[in-house]
Amino acid sequence: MALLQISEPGKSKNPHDKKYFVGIDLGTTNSLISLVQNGSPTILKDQNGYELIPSVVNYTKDDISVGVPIESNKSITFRSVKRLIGKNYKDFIDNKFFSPCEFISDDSIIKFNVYNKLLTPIEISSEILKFLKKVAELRLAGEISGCVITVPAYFDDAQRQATKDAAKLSGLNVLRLLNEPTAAALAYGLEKKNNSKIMVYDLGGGTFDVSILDLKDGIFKVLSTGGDSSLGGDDFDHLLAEFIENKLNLDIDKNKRHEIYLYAKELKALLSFEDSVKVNLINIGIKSESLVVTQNDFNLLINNLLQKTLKISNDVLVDSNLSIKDIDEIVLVGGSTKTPYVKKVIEDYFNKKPLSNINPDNVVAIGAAIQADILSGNSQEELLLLEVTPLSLGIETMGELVEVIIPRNSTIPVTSSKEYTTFKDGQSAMRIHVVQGERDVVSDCRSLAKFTLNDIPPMIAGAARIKVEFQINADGILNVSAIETMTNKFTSIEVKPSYGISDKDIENMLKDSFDNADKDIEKRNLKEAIVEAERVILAIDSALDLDGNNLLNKNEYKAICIARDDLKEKIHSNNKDIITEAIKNLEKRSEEFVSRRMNSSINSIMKGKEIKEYN
Amino acid sequence: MAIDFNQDYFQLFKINCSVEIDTEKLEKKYLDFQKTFHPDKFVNSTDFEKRLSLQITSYINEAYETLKDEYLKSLYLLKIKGYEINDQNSTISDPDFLMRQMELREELEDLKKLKNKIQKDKFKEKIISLKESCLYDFKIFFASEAFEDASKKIKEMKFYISIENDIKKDG
Repeated sequence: MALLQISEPGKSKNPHDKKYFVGIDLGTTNSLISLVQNGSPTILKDQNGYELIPSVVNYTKDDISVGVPIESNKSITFRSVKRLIGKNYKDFIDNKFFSPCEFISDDSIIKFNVYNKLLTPIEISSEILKFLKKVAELRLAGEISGCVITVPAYFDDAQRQATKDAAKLSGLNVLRLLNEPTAAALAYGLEKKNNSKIMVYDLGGGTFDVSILDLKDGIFKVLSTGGDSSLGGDDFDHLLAEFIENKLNLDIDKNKRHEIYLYAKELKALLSFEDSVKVNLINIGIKSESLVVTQNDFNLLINNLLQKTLKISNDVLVDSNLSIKDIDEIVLVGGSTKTPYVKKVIEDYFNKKPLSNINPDNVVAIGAAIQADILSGNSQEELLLLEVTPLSLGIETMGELVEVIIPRNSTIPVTSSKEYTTFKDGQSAMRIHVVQGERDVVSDCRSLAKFTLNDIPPMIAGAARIKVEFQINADGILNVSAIETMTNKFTSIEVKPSYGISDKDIENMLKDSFDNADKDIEKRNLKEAIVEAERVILAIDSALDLDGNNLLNKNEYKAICIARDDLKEKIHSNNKDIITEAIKNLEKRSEEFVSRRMNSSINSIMKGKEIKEYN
Repeated sequence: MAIDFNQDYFQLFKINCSVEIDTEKLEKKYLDFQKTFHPDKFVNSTDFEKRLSLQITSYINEAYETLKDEYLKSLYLLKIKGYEINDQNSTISDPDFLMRQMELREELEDLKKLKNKIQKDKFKEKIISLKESCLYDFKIFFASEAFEDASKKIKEMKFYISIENDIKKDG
């Protein structure tokens, strides 16, 4: 039973602003935007007719463009910026990221100096999302009211949060972050199979990601995930470029090296369907007639990397207590799986022909569109995705050790609480350091955030009981709250995301991105408030229709109606604050009703068949 | 708020509070709950409903994971009976068992150095069967309400699980 299925896109009051729910594959190398139209998923093309939009952002002194790289000294071009999202300086160094400009690093988020403006990877990513949004709005001649964005299954909290922040900056409303492998399985309609185990092997441009999914009774469950965030087709290109350099005995500068790298990319594509290719570097000004690269050369080059992916795949299988023979389907994702040798290695190792009839470049975006369609309520399909957290969540304890609070592969959403006490008389604050990872020592894990619990009521040492609750929501994002249980007083928490940006930063960035800052922001806020108000009214109305008479007495029913009608009136006030106030009021008035509905659902599930069984 | 998060997990799923549970029923109820309350069903709802959905599904997940796992379920059963095992009281003072622990730890360290897969698998099997026998004993003690003895078995089981995890980590 669905409680409040309220979205009715066909019923918009104004037929001209049709609302769309799209799927977005925000990839390291390429990005795509897609949606389900008349029941079938389609990738939307940009104005030049391309589906794959390179995740490339160019900045010139007074313009930003996305997609085609500008190779000129009058621009700064970012590629593969997804590698840096939600990451810190150390990751940046480890990541072989080619920085096109100067950058600043303190111990938190990295900032690039782009024509004297400091930009974070979040802002750069948001340009790609803005572009995709524009592509869709142009194609559909309508408004994008919600989206599903895919992320690698092992993205940690910081990376997920950063992705959501980028979406916020681009003006997109994120319905859900969806794990890429789950999206791929959705694209193949594998949810219709019952009781099967699926391996999703995703070798993209910059990341390798493998997941085991379990399908049972129409419910998707991610059993385990693994991968390597710094392994992908880009590495193939680097190896191939290195191979060419060595064979030709070249001694070249950084720029030339980059050009050879770009050439290697093309060469790789050619080697997918030709046995051998004559290397031609004339355009770069290098003599290379003597050099021929064969498919076999290339296969040998990438073999080590592929073996590494197989080892990771096997570890992930072991993690779910499975072996190769238990796998029913293998789904191939990512442009790099188009390489014939990759397919062959997988088929040989797992002794099974992998699914690859949907273009592996598109498969994730297609799945995202399907999920967006289901979440929006447009789709008739009853589908539920249950996902797990990819990394253990822990806190720092004595001696810089990690105490696990939420173990990895726990089904989300998940909550866990931990009780702390004070060790000094009258102590009013304490610090908590949250990390994510599988290692025992703090410095080997990723630092997520440092929290300060303030306003602890003064008591003698050891008397305060502070219950800190860690909650990972359905997007895999962490929230923390704390309460002193002796006095039932909430302690405030100061969140310092280790490598992210704060809400205030986002607000400022949004302001910066508007020319007429104040006016435009006001307009946007007002519009958002109106949309929110309409959504809430719709939700309440449909709830009243279904259960109003059963669960409310006349007066209660009336009180909710009054609050609703009040909101309906206030929508026309053109004042964001007044509307927001009226929304809050309506929500407040209907809280009891909502609780009763939830309870009645819980009761009906709990009773279920027992009525028959016991009566 | 009227939803009772304090009822025990067995009550939630309407299954008998005992060491042997109807797992089919547990699975079915779990899925019914998820189909109704998962946050995906509430993306267009009011904030209050979103919060409730998050709270309810977190609670249901926790309950399900606890009852599904033999060790966690055993800990939970003991807790209901007033025999909570926590960090402070989980060590075992029985000298024989301490000796055994040390021997097994040493054996594992030696195996790690040897890197012999067959021997390691054999060792792993031994640990698993020791763990299983703890669980078996636990069930008998628990059923006969010998909760002290049952607790001891679970503490032993905890040790075997940690060894098993170490083997897994070693690959």
